[in-house]
Amino acid sequence: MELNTLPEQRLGKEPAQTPLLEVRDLSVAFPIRSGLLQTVTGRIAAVNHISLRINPGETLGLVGESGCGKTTAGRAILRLIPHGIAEISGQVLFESTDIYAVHAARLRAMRRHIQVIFQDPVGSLNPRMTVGAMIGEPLLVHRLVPKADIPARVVELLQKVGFTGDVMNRYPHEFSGGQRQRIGIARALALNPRLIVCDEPVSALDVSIQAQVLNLLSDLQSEMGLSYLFIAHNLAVVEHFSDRIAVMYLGRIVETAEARTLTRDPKHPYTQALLSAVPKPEVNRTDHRIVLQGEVPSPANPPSGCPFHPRCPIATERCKREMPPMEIKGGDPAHYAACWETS
Amino acid sequence: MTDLTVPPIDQPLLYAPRPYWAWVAARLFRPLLVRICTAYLVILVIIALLVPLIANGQPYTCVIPAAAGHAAVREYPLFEDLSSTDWILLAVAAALAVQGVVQLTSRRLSRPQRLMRRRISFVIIAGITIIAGSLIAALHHNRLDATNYRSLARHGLITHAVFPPVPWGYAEMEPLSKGLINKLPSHRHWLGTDGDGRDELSRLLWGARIAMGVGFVSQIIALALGIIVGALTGYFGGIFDIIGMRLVEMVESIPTFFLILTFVAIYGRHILDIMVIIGVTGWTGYARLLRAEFFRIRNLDYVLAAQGSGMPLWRVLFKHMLPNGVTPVLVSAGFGMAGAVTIEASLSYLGVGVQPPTASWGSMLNSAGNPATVFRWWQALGPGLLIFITVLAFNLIAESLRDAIDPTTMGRR
Repeated sequence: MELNTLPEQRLGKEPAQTPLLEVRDLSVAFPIRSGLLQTVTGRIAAVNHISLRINPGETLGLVGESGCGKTTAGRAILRLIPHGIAEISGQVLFESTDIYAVHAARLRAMRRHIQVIFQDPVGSLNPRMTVGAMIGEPLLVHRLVPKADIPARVVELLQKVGFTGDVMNRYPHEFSGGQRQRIGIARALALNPRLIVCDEPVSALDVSIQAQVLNLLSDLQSEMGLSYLFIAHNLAVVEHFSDRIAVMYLGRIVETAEARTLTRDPKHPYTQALLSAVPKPEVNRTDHRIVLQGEVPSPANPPSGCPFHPRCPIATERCKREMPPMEIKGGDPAHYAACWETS
Repeated sequence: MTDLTVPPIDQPLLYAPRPYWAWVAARLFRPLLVRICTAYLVILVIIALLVPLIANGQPYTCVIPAAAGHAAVREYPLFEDLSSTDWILLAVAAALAVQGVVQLTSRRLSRPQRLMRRRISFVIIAGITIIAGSLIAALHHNRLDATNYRSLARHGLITHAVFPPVPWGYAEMEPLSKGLINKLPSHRHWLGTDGDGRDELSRLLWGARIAMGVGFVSQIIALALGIIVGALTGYFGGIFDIIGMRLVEMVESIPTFFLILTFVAIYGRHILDIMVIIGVTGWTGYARLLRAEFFRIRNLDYVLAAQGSGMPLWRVLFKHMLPNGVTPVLVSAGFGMAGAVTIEASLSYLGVGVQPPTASWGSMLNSAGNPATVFRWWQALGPGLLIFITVLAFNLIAESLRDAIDPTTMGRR
């Protein structure tokens, strides 16, 4: 597998620093079963040999259109894909411990360091539990604070996300989308995690509330030293929020760079198309919008060669035959892209 | 922290905050008919628990007057003659009553205090009930007192006797010589007597205990089994699901009624066996329903969040998933209760249910004769009506619960 270079090299970071999270060559495939005997007749390669690295205190943005596997990647990193549903290979190292290699009890203990914030503010809160019970439960289970101190800690967490303590006894349906998302954040913060996987945390919110939640997340980051894996389909959201960005297409990472480099000088035609879709507040916009033709190919039957070639404006014969490797582009050791045609 | 972006949001709510169960209850009990049915069933349960104190031939208390050789003695014949089952059920009734009082008096407390108080009282009461019940069951033995206290009272051999409102035991027969067999309702026997000269009203009340006992015990067993199998198959899927569902299909192929007939033929009539058989053959529907619900809930974000914060499996299953998936099962259990009452009545009607002289509505219906030969309407009316109304009440409540949890009926009800 030519993509399988060492992540340190690919991401251009000095290997001396121990990353908080390191994903090595992670693949997730869902077998398609059919017929009476439920034999495997194909597989959907949702995530294809991706490698990522997040340093302490850093935010990595993971961008791609819907169906490209970014949510699956997030779930796989959290080891939340139910057993037996998918074939998962590769390593997910959290502070150098592979979370796929540990036993259930150890995994449960490790989970307090990696929390998750979901996209859907309705589905992510248990409708039968009060806000206080929901936020206090992880504290109770992990015995982080004495039982009697849990309510005080819950109030503290609620204040951190901008509520007063008296919302404790309310149920999720009494809150608006943005408020629920903040409750979800408070729940994720309860265990004092090191890393939070934000799975499209603002996609379901309207724009004014998006800014509110993003500002809250970035305040919390500087306050608590959090690291984020920030999954989104909207480059505009990720652009300002992330230190580095990885762009995903059809289960693969096609480009990764420092956020600023990536937005100024995108090398992969897919990234260029994504960026051209971001509205810019300029009167005389000179750049034209790149409109991609066609549909996203099915991950059950990916195209030969470069997975992007059927929709790529600059594709050549070579792109149809051979898969491009991740290479340094533009002379920047932190900028990698998988494309034959750009340099 | 930037104040601008995270303003306080606690503006007053436009609607009253209401937990899901309170919301369901409010919608469930809105129709008058459902309220009537619930009241009827509550009364039936109270009767079932307390029936020895309501319909009994012995007085609560009486005094044997002073005579030559001894002073006056106060006696408690009814309480001395209670069986261990009676005592346990009385303890259950007391526990429920205390729990009810606690619920009512803690309404004004804040939610955590209230929950705490209810939990403590529940634990204490349950503990006392279990300890007291098993002590009584171990130490107590029936006196099997056959003394006719009514005639003693009439002849002045006992004084100050206080009889229950229905002063007849379920097995107590009028002597043949009195000619009070198959009598129409009268002042002495408000609903008449049956072919053995036993009081119909007393037997109807005692029959409630069998009907409710079969309904509740069998459905509690069925629910426990169904919830465990349904939760595990629905959550784990895969091999668990395959094995669990084959088990369900196997159990579903067993005809409950004929299994009970066979069991009774071999081991004799024991009402407890019948309850257990109805329970262990009746859980499959609940398992299927809960499995389907768990399939749906398993991939919801709040379940992933619970797993993601390292909750143990039982907590994910029973605290996060079960409360969100149990309502259809409860609806089904309502219909199951009605079914269990019907099965017991049919078995007793056929003479393979309860052991005589135990009173059951089915066996009472049978002894009313049939229209072709002799038909004594007063012996058929009571049990027939009670079976009918009880089954109807369970069905109506279950149906109303189904509507209450269905959000599409929101506007109409």
